[in-house]
This record gives sequence, structure tokens and C-alpha cells, in this order.
Amino acid sequence: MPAATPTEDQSDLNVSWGNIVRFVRQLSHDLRNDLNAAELQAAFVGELAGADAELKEEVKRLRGFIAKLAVTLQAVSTAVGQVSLNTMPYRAADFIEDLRQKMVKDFPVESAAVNWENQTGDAMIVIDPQLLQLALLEIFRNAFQHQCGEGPLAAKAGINDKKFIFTLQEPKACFELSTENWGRDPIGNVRQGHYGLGLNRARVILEAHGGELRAHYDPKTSALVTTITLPISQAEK
Amino acid sequence: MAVENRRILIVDDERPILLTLEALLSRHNYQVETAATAASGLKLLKDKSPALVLLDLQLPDAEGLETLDQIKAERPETQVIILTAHDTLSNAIESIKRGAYHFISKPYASEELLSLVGRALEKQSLLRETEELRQRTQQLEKRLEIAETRSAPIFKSKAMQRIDELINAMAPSEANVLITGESGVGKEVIANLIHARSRRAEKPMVKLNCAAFPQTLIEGELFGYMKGAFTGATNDFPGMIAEASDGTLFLDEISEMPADLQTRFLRVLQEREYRSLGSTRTLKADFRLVAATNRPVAQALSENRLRTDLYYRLNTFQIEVPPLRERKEDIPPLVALFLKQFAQQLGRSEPAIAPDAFQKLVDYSWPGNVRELQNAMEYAVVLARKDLIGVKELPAEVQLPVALQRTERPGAGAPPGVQSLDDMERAAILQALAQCHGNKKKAAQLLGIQRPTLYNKMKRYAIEL
Repeated sequence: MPAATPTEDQSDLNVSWGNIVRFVRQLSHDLRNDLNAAELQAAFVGELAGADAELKEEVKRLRGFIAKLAVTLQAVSTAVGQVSLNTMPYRAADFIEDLRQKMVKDFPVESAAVNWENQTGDAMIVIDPQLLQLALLEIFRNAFQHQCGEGPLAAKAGINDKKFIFTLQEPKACFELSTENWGRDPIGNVRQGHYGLGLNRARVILEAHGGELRAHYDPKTSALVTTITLPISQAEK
Repeated sequence: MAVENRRILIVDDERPILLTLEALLSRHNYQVETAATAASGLKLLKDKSPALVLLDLQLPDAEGLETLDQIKAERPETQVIILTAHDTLSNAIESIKRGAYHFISKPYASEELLSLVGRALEKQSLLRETEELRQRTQQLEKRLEIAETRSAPIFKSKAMQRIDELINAMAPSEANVLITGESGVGKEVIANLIHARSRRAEKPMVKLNCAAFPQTLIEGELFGYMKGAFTGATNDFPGMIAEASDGTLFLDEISEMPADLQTRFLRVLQEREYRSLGSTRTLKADFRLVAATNRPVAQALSENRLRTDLYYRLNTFQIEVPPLRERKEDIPPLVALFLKQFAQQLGRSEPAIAPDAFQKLVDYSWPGNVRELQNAMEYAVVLARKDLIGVKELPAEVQLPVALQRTERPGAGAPPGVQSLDDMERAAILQALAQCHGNKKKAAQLLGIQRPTLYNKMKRYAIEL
């Protein structure tokens, strides 16, 4: 039987994002079940290896590969998952400080080249701090991966017109992309180890908070500016 | 679910995680404690005794797996759910092997987390219930052991050794046995032993105390009845003969069984068949009979309390258990046995017995036999001070001088006939002295004589205190 090759018609199929999400999650779920079994089996083989140091080391490497596969699948699955917020009033300044500490932990090298400015005072925001932190980390991760300009990143948080505004300014000498659909084009940029889901996930989280994510490139300063806007709590400003 | 079962400790150094988890779980009526370090988490574990710990594996002050080990060492019954980032998935699996209930990847989904928490707490509750049941079983086993030890007869004296040999010889047979002896000598204990050493030991031993039931009810208890056989028979009842099938039927105080019922029961022994009350169906009777009476057999026969034909049927083997006063060698091992039992029962260390108190126990005539000794030892163990039983901790009756003690249980012995005046006077003096615990002044007052007169009479009747 000849191998199936996509025809022009098939490549033009209009598949909805909802169907893609379901497909990815189901595939991820099925594969992770097998991976978990493989991981446990590998652990068992490791125990059978007893005092054989070489075999134990090989099993350890095998477990590492399996774990990596599981991590990738988990990440993809999470990235396309629905957002369910667990909100609470949170001091905006604390949120920025938590984010900064998390950056130091997760990106010890890159975070050193970020200039922070926090002018949120005592403003309160109603957020799911865990998810919102993930969204901002994703934006930083994106910046670290694509930065192609010189100079530090500038992260600024402040309050303006009853809104919490966070901007990240990245020097970019060679920016050629459009910012029109920033974060609205999932899996549009897929390459090895990158699935184009992170920014979309960040946008979904922000919009679930009643906020928005925008980006624009300023050719005068050669910088890409990503702006996040969130409503601040009316009760406590 | 009990309040303590809903206490959850979250150990995570990331404030957003800590706060969102706290808020989520609090909204679902869990009592939440939070800690940002392993050290403070372990302290809260001790102070608050949570049912569940949500533990991050990456803590600033300790390795997560080590913290898990410490939690499990401190409170093995506490469930632990590991909070893990993707890159620590293999550690999460390792943590399961070390006793964690499950792990959940960050960012967790609320529904998944709540479901996991619910299941972990349910498991914790079941484990606690299992532990309670295990403890209860252990207590029951201990009590059973005590009861079995209590039931074990002491065969120190020659008379009891002969009984032991006789039981060994005849227990494996199917022969009927009649056990006689005063109240409290341990007839039921002997019956238990016969059953235990018989070929029917694995089958039930059913006991019926004929003196404990109104005579009109004994028949129904023994033979069983059908629903409607008599007023009040609202259900079928198989009866003790049926319940003792393949086992042993122990009839205590058999001389208290009504005469006509003795006749009917004799037929069962002869024909090995019987019918329940209200039934026309003949049933097979397959039991080994052990009977007991505290009446002297000759007296029971002469008073027609025990039918002669039944007696001869029962009397294939007769075991006469001697009263305790006639086998004093059995007193020390019985005392030791009861001391141990009651000390265990009361959760105390086993008290010692002062030599003079021990002598009192040996000298006392024990008209109530082993049962009275047992009660006396319980009394003494309860009152023992500084793990020592002195004379004062013994029952008043035991403390009395030997001359003032009753030697037989009331109503036992030869029927009262005409006594000489001297005998009556001696008995009256002894009774008065006993009543006044040996106090001669009070005894003289009670008897209405002067104290010197009492002394003279005591000398005359050789009463020494």
C-alpha cells in the first residue's frame, strides 16, 4: 500500500482550535499512561540490577529519557488546558516581588540582566497568583529565548487609570515579526523543542483575569514592548 | 469526618502556591496550616497533627525527600501528597516509594487536587480506623488470653494431679462425665478442659446452667421449640442440644433440673434422638455430655433431686473436685495466677505479697473455694499500695484468726440435728468473736457476759486467737 501523502485539499483543512486541544490532550493522556508504566518498569529493573553499578547507571539514564518525554507531554497538555482561576486579593507589589524571586530561582543567569521598577504602592489585584505568575514567567521565557538586541530587559509595574500595568521592554535590533496577533497564533511557530503555545497560554490566563496582553515594536528605541493590563481591586486601591 | 481529619499542612516556599492552595482548601472547609520551610513544616506537624501534608520537593532549607522521610518517621499515619514541578517527576516517583500517597504537578488543577486530597484523607481515615480495630483486637486477644489463663486449672496438689491424669485418659472418649464438688471449686473449668482435650474440641461447647432458668423454661432451652409451640414462642429456636451438635453439652447444676425433664433427657441419652417442642420431626442428638452438681450425690439422690437412672447414665466417669481447703498446695500457684491476671487487667505492675499476708491466704479455709480466692485477690490487687499486698489489703474474712473462720459454706455439710449445749455455746462464742473480728471486749458485750467469763469459756473450749 502506498504511503498516504497530504493533498492540497488536506493541507487546507480548517481544523478548529477546540478540536486540536482535545486531540493534544487525549494523545498526551494516552502516551503519559504508557510512559508512567515505562517509568515504573524502569524503576523495577533498576532494583533488579542490584549491585551492578553499570546497569544501574544505564537504567538511570533510561529513566531520565522517559521522564523528559513525560515532562514534554505534560507541558504541552497543560499549555492547551482550560484555565480555572482560584482568585484572591493580592498586593500587586507582593506579586511583583514573588515573580522576581521566582525568576531568580528558575532563570538564575538571565534574571540578572533584568532591571526592575515597581511603583504599585499598596494597590490590590484580584488574581490567581500561581497562574498569573506562570503567564508572566512565560513572557520572560519568550524574551530570553528571542532576545537579539543588546542591553538589559526592563520590567516596570505601576498603576494607571485604575489599572495595573506591567511592561517588559526587550532590546531588539532585528525584530521582523508582526505584533498584531501577539499571543493569538498558537502553534504558528513550531520548531524543535518549541511548540508555540506559551504566549497563547499567557494571553488566555490574562484574559481570564479580565486583563489583556499587547505588544508593539518601537523602531526608534529598537525595543519590543509587551504590556499587560489588569483591573485593580475596587475595594482596596 | 472528625475535625482533626480535615487538617492539612502545606509546605512550600513559593508564596503564590501557598496562598492559592490555602484559599482553595479553606473554601472547601479544610483547616489549613502553611509553612514556607521544612523546619517550620515539621514543627507544625508536631504541634497540629495534620491528617495530610502537601509537600513541595524543592524547599530552601532541606531536601524534599528527606523531609518526607522525617514526616513519615514522625507520623507514619499522616498522608503526604507531593507537589512537584515537571523537572522533579522522577523524584516524585521516588517519593511514592518512600510512602507518599501521590504527587501532583504544578500548576495543579483545582479539581484534580481536591479529588486527590479527598481520597488521601479517606485513606488516612481508613488507616486510622484499621489501627483502632487492630488495637481493639489486641485488647480482646489480651483479655481472651487472661480469660483462658483464668480458666486454666491448677494441678499442683496430688488430688488435682489425679484429676488431670483422669481427664487425660477419658477426655478423648465419648463417655459421659459427672463432675461434683462444692460451689467455686472449678467444675466448669474442669468441664472446659475435658472439652478442650476431647476429639470434639473444634466444635462448640454449649453450657446450660439448670439453676439459672425457671424450671418451665429449661425444657425449651434444652430441646428447642417451634414457633407457636407455646405462648411467647414467636420464633423457631433450635435449642442447646442442636447447638451442641458434634460438640459438648455441659449441664451445670443438673440436680436442679425438674424430675420429669430428667426422664426425658435420659431418653435422649439412651436413644440419641429427640424432638423440639411443637415439632413432630425426630432429630439426631450428637453431643458429649458433661454434667455437674454442687450437691453431694448421695444427698441429691436421697432427696430425689437427681434421678437414679440418670445418675447411673451420667456417672460413666465421676470427677470429684476437692475443696480448696483440702488442697492447700494449690493456693500459692492460684495466688500467683490471679495476681498476674488482675495486675494485667488493671494495667499495674504485679504487686508482691507480704509474708504474713501470704500465710493468711494459705491458712484461710476458703469456704467459697477458688472463686472466693479469686475475688480476694482482685480485692487485694485493687487495694495494694506501693506494689505490696499486706494483711490489711486482704478481705476482713481472710484476716480473721483461723479459729474464727468458717470452714464450710453456709448451708453445706450435715443437716442440723440436736447439738449439745456445750457445742452450741462454743459455736455462739466463735460466731461472736468472728463478728467482732476477734475483739474480745465487743464479743463479750455481744454475748451478754463479762470479759473474764469469756476468757474462761474460751480456755474451756480451747478457742485460741
